[in-house]
Amino acid sequence: MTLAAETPVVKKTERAPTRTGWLMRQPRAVASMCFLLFLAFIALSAPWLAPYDPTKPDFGALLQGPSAAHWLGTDDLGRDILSRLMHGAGPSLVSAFASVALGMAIGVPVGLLAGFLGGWTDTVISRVLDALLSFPTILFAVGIAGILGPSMTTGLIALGVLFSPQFARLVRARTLVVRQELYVDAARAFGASTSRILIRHVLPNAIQSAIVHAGLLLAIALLAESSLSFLGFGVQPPHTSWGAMLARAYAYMESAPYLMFPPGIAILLTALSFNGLGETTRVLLDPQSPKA
Amino acid sequence: MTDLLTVEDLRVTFMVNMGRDPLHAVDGVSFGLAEGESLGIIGESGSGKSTIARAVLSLLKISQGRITMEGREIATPQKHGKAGSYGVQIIFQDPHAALNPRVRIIRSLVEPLEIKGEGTASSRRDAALEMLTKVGINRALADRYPHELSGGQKQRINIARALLLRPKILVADEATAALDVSIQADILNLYRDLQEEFGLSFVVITHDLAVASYVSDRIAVMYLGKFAELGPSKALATTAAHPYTRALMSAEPEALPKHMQSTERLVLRGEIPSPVSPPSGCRFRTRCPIATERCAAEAPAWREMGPGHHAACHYAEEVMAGRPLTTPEPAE
Ligand SMILES: Nc1ncnc2c1ncn2[C@@H]1O[C@H](COP(=O)(O)OP(=O)(O)O)[C@@H](O)[C@H]1O
Ligand code: SF4
Ligand SMILES: [Mg+2]
Repeated sequence: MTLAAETPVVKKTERAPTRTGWLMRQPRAVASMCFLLFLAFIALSAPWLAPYDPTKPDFGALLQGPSAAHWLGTDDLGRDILSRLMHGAGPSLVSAFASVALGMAIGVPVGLLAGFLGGWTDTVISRVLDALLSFPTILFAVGIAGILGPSMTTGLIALGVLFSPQFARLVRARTLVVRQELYVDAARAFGASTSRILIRHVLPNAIQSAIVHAGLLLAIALLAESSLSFLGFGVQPPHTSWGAMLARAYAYMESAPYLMFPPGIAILLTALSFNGLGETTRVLLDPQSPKA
Repeated sequence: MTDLLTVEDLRVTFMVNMGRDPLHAVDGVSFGLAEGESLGIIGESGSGKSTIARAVLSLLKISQGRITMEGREIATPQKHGKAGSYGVQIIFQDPHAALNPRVRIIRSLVEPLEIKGEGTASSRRDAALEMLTKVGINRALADRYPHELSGGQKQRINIARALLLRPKILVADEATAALDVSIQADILNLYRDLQEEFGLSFVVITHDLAVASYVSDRIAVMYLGKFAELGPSKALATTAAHPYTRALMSAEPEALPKHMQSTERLVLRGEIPSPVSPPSGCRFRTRCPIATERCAAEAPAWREMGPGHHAACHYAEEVMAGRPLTTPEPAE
């Protein structure tokens, strides 16, 4: 071969440092990550860190405002709010992650198949998705509870199933575009099977919007947990979660408004962190996005 | 000479307009390709060139005809072979779009070998790196992503990937059209080198006559789903038998090698008609400067005009003999 080698076009220095370096320069991403790590730590070490037993009533200290003994006050049964907040972190995070994970586990493959196979498979799947999307959340949860009985698991299954069409739609829409891409034909031309094409070539290019959306749904799941708790599909008393605390606080909105703030602010900050991470994850996974 | 690849009466029909109208993208095309031979297919955009390529690769279902490879049937309307399994590979027009943007070059390169289950992970990597060198790409680029490379580099990567499967035939579908002229020339030279080194046969699809005449032993001229003419490159240049071929030759004489240049200036009127409703008789008649009533009534037969030289025109002999093809001035 007489052909001279082309000189490499070196546009970037080493990749890995660039990526971490980029991440470190995103204040929101860093703050979100730190906050979620902090929460994870609290959730895991609540049994040792919490100043009081979160389930033990103290009838001598009902509905007290913040004090030296109870930094965030006590609830209607005299239980320490700070301790309940710490113990509630775990169930709140777990149910949020579990419901979104379930939603993705169902929605992503369904959307991928509908978009890739097209034809009547797509028509049938799309109809079912539309029906699910137009179903009122609460009604659905009640329906599932009727079958499975009310529990936190029931609540998160209901949420997961309800989230799944959103993921399916996002992934389907992108798959319709990606399946037309030339690299899909190229893969077929060198003998790739359909499953390989779906997993190696279509999925990684079709899942971005679903990842960003997962950040949003994690936030929504945290909030939804409070309405589900209200209906009895959350953590079963005397155990608690933020959603359950918030639901309970509604009842004392006038006599003890301070009860709203601890779970409310915890949910808000966590929701913001999830949101911040969704977009960051998408950028991190995309080799083409500028990270300089 | 026995052909490596034969395409017999190939027809590919797409249903368009919500499945109401048939579009005959390829409407009865036959050709053979010998070992080590290079066939150029030229024609305007929409004439059906890519559809032929995809049919030969088994990337689509054919509607009629038969494709065989080394005597083995690979495609009929009833079934088609598994793409990538019978020694035909393809290079697409857009070098960037043909590479998965989320996959590093080296992974794109080893994937075909992985699918075939050839060797170990490290032997596949070695083979890929070696092939990179052969196509003139620095190995240091192997761990990069496609968007970090230039168009020419990406096209070489695509060529390397296709060659790793050791095909007998490489189909290049407008593979240089998206590249700068100087890089085009490099890639075309690379084809020639590969042809020598690997004994490859080529199907070079292009709308660029210069590209076709530079690399092809034979050239097929395609118009609206059919071949207008097929013959040795030299014969087409000196004694084209179809007015469309002559028009293409005269449209870009400077693009042709010296021996193929003609002084005639012939400008085709109008646009290529819709393939959904092609003209009756000869498909070229709406733009042909010498069309007669016969051309509208009767489709011209595919006739032998010389050794290995065929054309479909009622007046092929006259065209070959140099009958002037004047374009009447448009009326004021
Ligand atoms: N998948 C398809 N569905 C419908 N029509 C198609 C499809 N692929 C190609 N065509 C049509 O077939 C004709 C030939 O296309 P193509 O083979 O791409 O031509 P070329 O490569 O010569 O530009 C065009 O009219 C094109 O619109
Ligand atoms: S058959 Fe008639 S219309 Fe067709 S190319 Fe020949 S002269 Fe022109
Ligand atoms: Mg084309």
